[in-house]
Amino acid sequence: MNIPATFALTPALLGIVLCACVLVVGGLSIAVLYHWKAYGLEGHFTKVAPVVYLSVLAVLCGLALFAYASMLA
Amino acid sequence: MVKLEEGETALYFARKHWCLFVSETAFLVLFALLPGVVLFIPSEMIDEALDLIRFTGGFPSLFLFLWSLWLMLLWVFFALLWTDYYLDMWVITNHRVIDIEQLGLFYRKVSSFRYNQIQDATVKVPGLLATLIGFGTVELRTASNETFRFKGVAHPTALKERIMSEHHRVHADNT
Repeated sequence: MNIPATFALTPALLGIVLCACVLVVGGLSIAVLYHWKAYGLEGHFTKVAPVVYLSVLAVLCGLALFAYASMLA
Repeated sequence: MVKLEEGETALYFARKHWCLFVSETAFLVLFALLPGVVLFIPSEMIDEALDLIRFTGGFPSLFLFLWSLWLMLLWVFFALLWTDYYLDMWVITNHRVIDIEQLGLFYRKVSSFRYNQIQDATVKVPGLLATLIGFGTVELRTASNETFRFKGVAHPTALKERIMSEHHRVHADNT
């Protein structure tokens, strides 16, 4: 039995998914970092945590971009 | 930031026990590894699925792409849980107890009461696990019949003793 495809997974569609994810993650990250800066009482935490958080996020974002670029190639 | 009064110093920050945070976030690790199940699906089935969605690129790139997006979302969710855990606390100062309740990102409640308002303090350590790990509930009832409750706080007995010793100090200073 052949099931007809309802949509095609094109690079453009994946690009839109990537942009949507980056927008959502970016917005939430700004909110999280604001809370840490505004309400995180201890100085050590407010210095270290954003660096760790953003570093991991940058690695994951880089990985997604790399995978997307390799799909286009 | 909680604004302290003149001459007020923070003596102790009480948070939920870290074990409770770990148990809340353990499922995130499970979710992060879940897409790995795809690697055990026979390649013929994957090829068929890729044909169905008319995807022409390589499967490893698509898998890596979707997995990294998934991990990004989980990482942000972890940060939200951490924010909730870290900013939900009681600050014990030499003047009062400040109860900060953080529920998600956009709900924050800060209330405080002075030591001379405390009428009654209770510690509840529910069960074997709580006894072994060292967490419980501290309840403080004030003169206005309001109850302040901190569930799952680490070292509840030490917290209660700390509060009561400040309460006694303030009481002795006033008499």
